[in-house]
Amino acid sequence: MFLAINDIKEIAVKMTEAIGVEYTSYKFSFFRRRLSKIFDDLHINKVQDFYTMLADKKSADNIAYRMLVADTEMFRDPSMWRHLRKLLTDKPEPKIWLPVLTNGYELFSLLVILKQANIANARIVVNCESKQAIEGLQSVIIPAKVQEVNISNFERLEVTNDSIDNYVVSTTDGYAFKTDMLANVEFRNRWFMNEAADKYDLIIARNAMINYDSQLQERVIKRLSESIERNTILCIGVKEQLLYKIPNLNTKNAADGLYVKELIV
Amino acid sequence: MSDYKAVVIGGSAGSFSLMLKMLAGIKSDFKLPIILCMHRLKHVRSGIAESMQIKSKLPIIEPMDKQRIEPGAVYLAPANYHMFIELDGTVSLSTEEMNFFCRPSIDYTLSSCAAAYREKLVGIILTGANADGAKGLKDIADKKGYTIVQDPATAEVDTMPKSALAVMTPNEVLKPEGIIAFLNNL
Repeated sequence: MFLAINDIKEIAVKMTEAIGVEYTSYKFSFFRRRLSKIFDDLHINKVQDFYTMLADKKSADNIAYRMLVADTEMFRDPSMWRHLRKLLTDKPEPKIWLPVLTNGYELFSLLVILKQANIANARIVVNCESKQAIEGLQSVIIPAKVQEVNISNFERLEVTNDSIDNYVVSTTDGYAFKTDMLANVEFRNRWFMNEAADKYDLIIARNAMINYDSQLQERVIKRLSESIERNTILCIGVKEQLLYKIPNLNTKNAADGLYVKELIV
Repeated sequence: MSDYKAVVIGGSAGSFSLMLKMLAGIKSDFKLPIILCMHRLKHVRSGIAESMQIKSKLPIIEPMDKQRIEPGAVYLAPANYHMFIELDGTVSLSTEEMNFFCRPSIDYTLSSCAAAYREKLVGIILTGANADGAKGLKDIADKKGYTIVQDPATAEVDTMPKSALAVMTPNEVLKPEGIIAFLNNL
């Protein structure tokens, strides 16, 4: 369905009010593409029908869920995960924040890395505006084709005494994560920008800010900086820029999007 | 001085060696930005731009998100990201769903360039093994941009140029040498 610019802008305002995520500050082109996909996938032919959905809490949550860009593989950028695993060896009980959850591939990748680093006492906080996304983690099905990619990426983690089979079970439709891995994970069903500031040892926020406009991206980085203290690791997408300079946050491995807050001299 | 503001090129199977040849042939004083979207292995992040840089007289850039497009440089879509060009001349990267099982998608890059540069764009489709890029090139033609398809007879894999020719009529069908000469005369 063709959506006029004014319709898109008005929808962004109403979605922001209904869902509590600042869609008005999403990159317009991204928001338009996402919205068009939602209209097509849900067979919505009138903007008014969309507003009716937004007024219903469960339907609004479904829209929030569909706005998320799902990861298409585990261990995306394997060298980043290898590097991160090394950095985590200095943090036996890390407090970790994933501000943006989509379909869980990123979260489960982290959980695997923690196992490989022999870290059993991590505390992980995950934010997601969609309840459906959080609940869906209990029953994520990994299609066999995707699992082939996951296995290839897993092999690039360069661990000889581990297998991806330790973390998934085979199902009739493909594979599923072993959900007992989620024991140390706390889920918070709200947009991360509405979260009270807390300090973390590791923040993983990859490839979310690319969907925001420059102003929101800058505010997000400032918000993340409030949760960063000495030796905190910040991990962003390999092609994302830090539009706001966080004092003493230094590149650890720019090619992998890894930064570490160094000692203030 | 050319009336065009940018050149966008899409290619897949067989296009890497062809691009090396084309980049080697493009003059060092080429003034327009060249926006390049090639299907590539998603886990191989380095090597391609570096190889191109050896041959190219123009700087090869794998842009960051929100980086501005500048004249006289080649912008290569990064591995595992879609690359869109915004109306303000900046790059938008995205991890959205794949198109034709590909990310970056040639359609997405070409269509966004069509919207950003309209009739001041040259769009080129090279050799490749699927239909990605055909719709994007049609979008460029629909906006009155100048369109070129590599002569399928010279393509290592002719699916991509033939798919483009099936949905639109380009301004020219050229052999690689002809494409290089066209670009150098802009």
